[in-house]
Amino acid sequence: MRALLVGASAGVGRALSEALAARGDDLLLVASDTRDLEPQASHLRLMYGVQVEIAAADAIRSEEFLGKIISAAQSFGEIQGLFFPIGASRNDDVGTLPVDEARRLIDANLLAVMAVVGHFLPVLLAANRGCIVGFGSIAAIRGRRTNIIYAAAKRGLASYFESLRHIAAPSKVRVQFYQLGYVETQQTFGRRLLFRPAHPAEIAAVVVRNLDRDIGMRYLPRYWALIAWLVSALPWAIFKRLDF
Amino acid sequence: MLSDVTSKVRTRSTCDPAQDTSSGARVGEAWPEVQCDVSSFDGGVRIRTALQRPDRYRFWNDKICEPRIPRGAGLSYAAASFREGGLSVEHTSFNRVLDFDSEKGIVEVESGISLDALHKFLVSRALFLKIQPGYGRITVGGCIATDAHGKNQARDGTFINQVAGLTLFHPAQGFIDLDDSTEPDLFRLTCGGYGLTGHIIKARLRASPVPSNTVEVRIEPVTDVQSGTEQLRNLAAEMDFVYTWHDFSTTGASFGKGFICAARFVPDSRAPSTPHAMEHSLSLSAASRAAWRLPLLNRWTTKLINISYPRKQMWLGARSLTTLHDALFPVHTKQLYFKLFGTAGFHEFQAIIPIGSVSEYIEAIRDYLVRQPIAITLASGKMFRGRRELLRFTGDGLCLALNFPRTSESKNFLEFLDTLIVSLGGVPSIIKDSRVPHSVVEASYPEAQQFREMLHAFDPKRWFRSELSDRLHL
Repeated sequence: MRALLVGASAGVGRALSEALAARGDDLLLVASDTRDLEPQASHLRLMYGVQVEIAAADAIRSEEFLGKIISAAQSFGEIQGLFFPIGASRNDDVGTLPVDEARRLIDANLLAVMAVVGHFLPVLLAANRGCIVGFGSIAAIRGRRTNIIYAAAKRGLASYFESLRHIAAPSKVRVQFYQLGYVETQQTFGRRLLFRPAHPAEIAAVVVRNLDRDIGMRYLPRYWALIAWLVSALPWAIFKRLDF
Repeated sequence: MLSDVTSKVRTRSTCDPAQDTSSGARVGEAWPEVQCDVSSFDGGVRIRTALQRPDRYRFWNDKICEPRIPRGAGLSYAAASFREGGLSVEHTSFNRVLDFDSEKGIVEVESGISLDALHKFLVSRALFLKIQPGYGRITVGGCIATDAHGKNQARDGTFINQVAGLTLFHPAQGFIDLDDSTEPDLFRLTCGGYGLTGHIIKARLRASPVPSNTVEVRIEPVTDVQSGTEQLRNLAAEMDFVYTWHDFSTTGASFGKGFICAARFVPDSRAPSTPHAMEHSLSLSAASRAAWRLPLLNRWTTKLINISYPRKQMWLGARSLTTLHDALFPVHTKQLYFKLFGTAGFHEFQAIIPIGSVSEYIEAIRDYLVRQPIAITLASGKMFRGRRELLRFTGDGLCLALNFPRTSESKNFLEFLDTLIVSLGGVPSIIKDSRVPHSVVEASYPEAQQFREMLHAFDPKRWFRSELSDRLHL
């Protein structure tokens, strides 16, 4: 497979690039900083002998973002898989962000993905093969007092991927969406959490294992499905008292 | 190592807050740090420090705001990668292979790559690092900072010998490319500089061709340390791996009795038909080592072990075959040993003794142990050769490592060993002993003051500090 991976410099994205390269996939890696992309690309080429190209593009600058990816994709060749382990959040996302800042969050978490999928979807459908894999967050299960815009964007992304799956249903293009629980990233580093954060490599291994399956939406790790159901089922009278 | 996290996370303010949109990032925030209790691997130093684990290069945009120290796998016996109230910056996320020149055998890596991962990369290309310590989780950066030695120091030297160059980052000076010719002083100060010159970002290493993946191990009994030393001297030039093991748990005539283990590459055609290929989980850390509260190694259990261990080695055969991986990383099968010391931990006193003083050194230790029994759980020798320079653990002589449990009696024994090694003109290892005093280092490292002056000339504000550098007044 020849895959485009947006958000490849760290966390799940970096682990996923390694897992895909390990099975022989050629990759076009996208992230905001060339300094992170170059070592990752070199590493994957040397370790796995696959073709790896890079494109430095910042998802919060949506007007340039798609153009840079299209340009890089032209020299990379036909793309058969789209992966979006991308996301951005901020501590002060509590309902008072200025509109420009709010837009940056929405761009990074939602619009950037929509823009890239919108460009490549016709190609995938025409080829009648390939996959589109998105990543949401358990933060979007229910609206809370924090991560307000982030969660709204991620919930929008979940809806978007459900629609994509509908569009792609008659074809052999697989659309998958993972709702991620705690993952070992800078966000969870050193924090005392209710559940052990999953290592990005564990997430990547499951994603790669499921690539040929029509799984729709999945929680990862799987036990988050139960937690999500419980949180969703909580009566408002109780939910409004929770601070998490 | 974060199992010992005991308090909240905060983000340290930086002069150049990151703007990030990649997976797991927070827009417009600094890097999170965690306050945690960390300890040296030997359990001798336990202090509270702040830890950061950056995973992106923009971390190095940060202007320096307070002292810090780089950290690899956190497996140093001494507290070289942390200090009370300080900031440790862990490099383990920077663990990639960056470049490889198959003709010259030069591999460029990020400093957080583990020896095990690098070995897997190199050996698939019929190359390996001749000089590396025996545990695969140790990072390349850690090996450079401590100038680690391998299985045959007398023939191969120390880690610096296979460093073709490195890139150092100092927040006040930026990125600096170093090698033995372009910045020789800083290069030699950094290799064996205990992380005090800055962050080692990447390194170019000279790998050696792998003669074969099969190693023949020869075990032969020795009657005492002196005869073992004589055999080490004879075999160091011709063997690829060579060390001695001695029983110090008895003070009678058999004191120092043991065996010499000498190994060399043999053709793969001699490899056993069912090679030993067990993958060991590399879980050893300072925290996991100390997980068992109760120490299980004492004079009696040590005696039992010292009776059975050499017998087992001899039973395995005077000559046996093993894989290169197992020969390079013997600690993988001995991780349990370190846990047996329990939470209290252990001491390692590793010192280079001039050949002419080996008998006196051994006799003095035996006399002490007759008077004050100590459970010496390990006594192992290697031959060392090399010029003493700065604070690198080099010199000519027998390098003898002693392990014993951390007890109320061990302090006096260490003070005795300090005095003894200084009086004999030997060199104690700084990185293997978390308490080696300033006065002992001053007395046994002739260039300690020169190291200090060079370090202060390069970094007048001394932004890189650790418990080790504080203790040794560096």
